[in-house]
Order: sequence, then C-alpha cells, then structure tokens
Amino acid sequence: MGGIFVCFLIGLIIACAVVLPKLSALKTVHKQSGASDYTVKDSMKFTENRDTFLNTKVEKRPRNTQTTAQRR
Amino acid sequence: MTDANEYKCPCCGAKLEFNSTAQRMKCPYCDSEFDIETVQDYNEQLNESTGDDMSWDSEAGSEWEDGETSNMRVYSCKSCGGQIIAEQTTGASFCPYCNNPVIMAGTFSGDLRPDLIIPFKLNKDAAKSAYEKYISGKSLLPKVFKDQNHIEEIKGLYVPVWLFGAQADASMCFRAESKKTWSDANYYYTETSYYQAVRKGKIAFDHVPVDGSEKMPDDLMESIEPFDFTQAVPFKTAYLSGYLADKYDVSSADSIARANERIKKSTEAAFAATVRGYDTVRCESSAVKLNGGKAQYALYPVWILNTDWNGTKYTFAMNGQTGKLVGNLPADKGKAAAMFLGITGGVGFGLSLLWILLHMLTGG
Repeated sequence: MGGIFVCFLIGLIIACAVVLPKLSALKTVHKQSGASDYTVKDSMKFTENRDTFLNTKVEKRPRNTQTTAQRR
Repeated sequence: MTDANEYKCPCCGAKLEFNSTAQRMKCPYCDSEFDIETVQDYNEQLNESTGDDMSWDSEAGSEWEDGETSNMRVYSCKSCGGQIIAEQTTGASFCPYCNNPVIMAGTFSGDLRPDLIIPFKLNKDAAKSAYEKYISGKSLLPKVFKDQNHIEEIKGLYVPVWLFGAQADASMCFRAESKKTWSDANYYYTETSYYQAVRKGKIAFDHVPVDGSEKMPDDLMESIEPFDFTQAVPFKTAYLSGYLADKYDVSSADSIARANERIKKSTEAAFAATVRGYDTVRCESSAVKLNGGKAQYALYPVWILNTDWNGTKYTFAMNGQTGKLVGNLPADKGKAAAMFLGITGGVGFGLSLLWILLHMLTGG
C-alpha cells in the first residue's frame, strides 16, 4: 500500500514539474528595474576610484563542541 | 556638542572611542582598532554625500504647424475615456485599450507635437503570426485567445513616451569584506578584512523612455523594451497613416520620478559592478546629481490586442519595431486541473502497475 502511495506521489511531483512552468510561461510582463539599456557607451568615467584597507579581524570558534561530553 | 566628532566603526557601525593605551580608535562593541587617519577618512567619505539632485528641463515637444492636424481626428472612448488620434482616412471604431466603441470627438487640436517617432517596422501580418507563434505552445490558454477572428482585431498603436537623457554625476561609498577561513587542531578561524571603496564619476543615459499614456499599463510598455532609438526619425503626420495614435495624458513633469528611479538604480548598479574581488559589498552612501537633463516627446510603435475573458481584460502587446511580445495571459483552470490530475493519475497508475508486477515476479 505504501508503495502505491509513493507511485502516486511521484506522479504528483511530475505533474507539478510539467504544469507549473506552463502556468508561469503565461506571465511575461515585468517592470524594468533600471535603465541599463540606455547607458551611453563608454560614458562611465571615474574621477576617484580607490579601495582603502581598514582593518582585519580574526574570530575563532572551537573545532569540536562535543569534546566535553565525550570526556565525561 | 554636535555629532561632528563621532566616528562610526567600519566593521559594526557603533561609535568608536579613542584608546589612550593603544593610541588608536577602538570599537567598544567589536574590539576592532583603527588608525585615526583611516577612521577620519572613512567617516568623511560617508558624510560627504549631499543627497540626490535630479532635476530636469522637462519641456519637450513643440507646437503644431498650421494645417498639419487638419486631416487628423480625435476619437473618444465613452467607456475608458481614452482619446485616440487617427487620420480621417484611417478612422477608428474601437478603443485599442478596452475594445469598446469609440465616437469621433472632432478635429485634433492643442497638445504638443511629438519631437520624434519610431515608425512601425513590422506589419499586421507579422504581428499576427508572431502572436500565433507565441500562443501555439501554450496549452493552458483559454480557447478564446486562439480564435482567428479575435486575432484579426490586433491594432497598431503609436504610444506616447517621454524620453529622458542626462549625465549622472555620482558619488558612492561601499563597504567591502573579504573572508579567509582555516583551522587547526582546536579551532576554526575566520579572518575578515574590511575595506572602503570610493567611486566618484559620471555616466550618461540617453532616451530613457517613460510611458506617457495613462491607459497603457507602464509595466507592459517597459516589458517590450528596448526600442532601437537609432531608427527614430523627426515626427511627420504621414507616419500615422493606417495606425492609431494615443495622446499623452501623463505630462513629462509627472514622468520624471520614474526616469529618476531607473537612472539612479542603473547608475548605482554600474558603479557597484566596479567594486570587485570581495566576498560581500554593501553600498553605504550614494548621491546622484543630474546634469544637462533633457526630455523629448516621442511616439513608439506597439501592436496591441485586448481580450475579455471571465470579466477581466487581458492585454497583449508587441514591440512594433523589434517584435518582442509580452502579455499576462490567464490559464484555463479546467484545462490546468485536467492536465494536473491526468499526469498524476497516469504516472501514479503506471508506476503502481509496474510495482505490483515486480512484486508478483519476485514473489514478494
């Protein structure tokens, strides 16, 4: 009985994989997020372009948290 | 006392304090230490941003010449209030936006004359075959969308758009991090290096379109972008022959906000893309100023098809120049349910039979 249930579950998953993409293919209207299509070619010029190193921080955490329990 | 001498920690954003022992600035929360010069420079860059200044010369369009509009008629839709312009010989009987009958309201007068027009490049047959191809693989689409008589109703419409162009001067500050991990016998280590990336410069945008028609959904117009502006020509009424045209009812001043939003987003994205080689990059401050902003009034070619189904209007639009087509189309719930149940039942039944057969063969 459990095997038959699994068979129909597989059918359900395959049905989702077939039908859901077909449903989403019907929606093709999306607002544009920016205006990158209208950038003038080679117009980006920097007057200042620098990366400054600020700081380095090292954090450490124990490798094996079960050590204490194992010792008991 | 003002906040002028307060310095933020580049690592966690908390207020830094001067540590007299180390002679450095120290964060009481994350224990990070910095040189005074580094912190001063970092905070100066952060505070330098003076906000956006995105103003435009929004005067677009020009006056009509004498006699230029004598052959043009205005048709008014009693249902949605849309006003369509067509040449006297072309005429219009149905509103392209809501499919309801229109009545002739009189000769065209007033309003601005478009500066530019992109003429239709794809004719009605090309639009129809593109639509048919578009819907051919969509098995869940209701039948009414595939009806040949309905497809005949596709209309060529010039949609009014405002085109914005400007140079964006931007000043941006990013916080970047790169991480390195290793371990020894007892610990896992994570080393995080913090950087400040400053980008100041300019980038130019040209002909950023914003829909000037209230009836035409903005997202639909933006979905069929881009239009090839190199094919735009100075406006002449002759280009309207055989097509409908919409009058702008959203002014250039009212369209500025959308143009600004798009330009700002693309400017920030272009500048952010140059901060490379880090694991994470976060924009901390951004100021965009526009220079030489100018607007133009243009007409863009769109093939449009409206379909009423279950009391809702669905609009399909196609770029009349490039052929790109879009539309939020509905699914026939009956068809979708039948397909879903059919696949579930078919696959489930088939696999069950196989499973039972295997059991019988193996004597399980």
